[in-house]
Amino acid sequence: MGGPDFKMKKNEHRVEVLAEADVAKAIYAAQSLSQEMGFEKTARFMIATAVSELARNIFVYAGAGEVAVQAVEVDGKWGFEVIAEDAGPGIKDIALALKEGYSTGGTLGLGLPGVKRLMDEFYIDPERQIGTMIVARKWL
Amino acid sequence: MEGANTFSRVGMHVMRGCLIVPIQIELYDEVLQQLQRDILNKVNDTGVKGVIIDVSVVEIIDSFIAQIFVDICRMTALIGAQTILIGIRPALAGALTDLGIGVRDIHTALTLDHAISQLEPVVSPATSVLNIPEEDMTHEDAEYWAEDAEDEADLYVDEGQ
Repeated sequence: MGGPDFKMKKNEHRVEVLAEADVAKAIYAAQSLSQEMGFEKTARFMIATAVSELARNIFVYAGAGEVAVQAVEVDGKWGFEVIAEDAGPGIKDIALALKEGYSTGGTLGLGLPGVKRLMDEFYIDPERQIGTMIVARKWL
Repeated sequence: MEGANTFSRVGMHVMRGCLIVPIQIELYDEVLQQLQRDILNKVNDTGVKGVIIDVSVVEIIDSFIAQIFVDICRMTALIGAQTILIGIRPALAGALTDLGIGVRDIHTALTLDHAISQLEPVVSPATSVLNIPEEDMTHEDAEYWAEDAEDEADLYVDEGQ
């Protein structure tokens, strides 16, 4: 699975995550876009939960960052895409972070594996030197 | 705690031996921490043996919020009360399962009625201490809670600050 390789994107909405209230803003952006794109209710909840998780990770682990949500098209298929980016401490061991039950933040530690299950595609940029970039997509 | 009065709090009341907590505000970190403290204090003050948290208007439960609810369940259990979450909508249930929140971690019921029926054997004043299965309660708990089992009055969180 690769990084962002979309042919077209639209309705991009960026939310700066600096405070906890921004998590709610990111959730709202995700809910509006997924509804607009025509996702059914359960999928909308999955998307919103995943975005909430990613935005909260930024707030808890990195302190500041950005969540961007957008509609992307790959080979005629439309999908919801979320990109969560921060310049925080980064994820030292990606495989470990994706293991069930692993956490360094004192939470359930289900965050990232959970996001992976909630969405159809999930990708952590392994090359990144500073901070973290996570891309997740769910197809219509 | 700083800013303790600047954010909204969740009102709660005691009904039929249960502490009913209808969440009707957005769940920020501080709100959740305060909610946790308020529930524990209220259980401690009133001696209720059942806590029912209504999450039917909660928009999204991510793993952080779920963790707080799991903690509330565990903490109230330690001071002798069982917590049940009600009002988890079907779409939210789907997302929660994918998130990996186990059913074992949180007790749930569909409606307030179901929750009260589930808790009835535990909270009913007539049961007193003797009819409660031993594994559900230690002797210390039993002695302690027997003292104030009668407290049924409606109570709110921010009484006389």
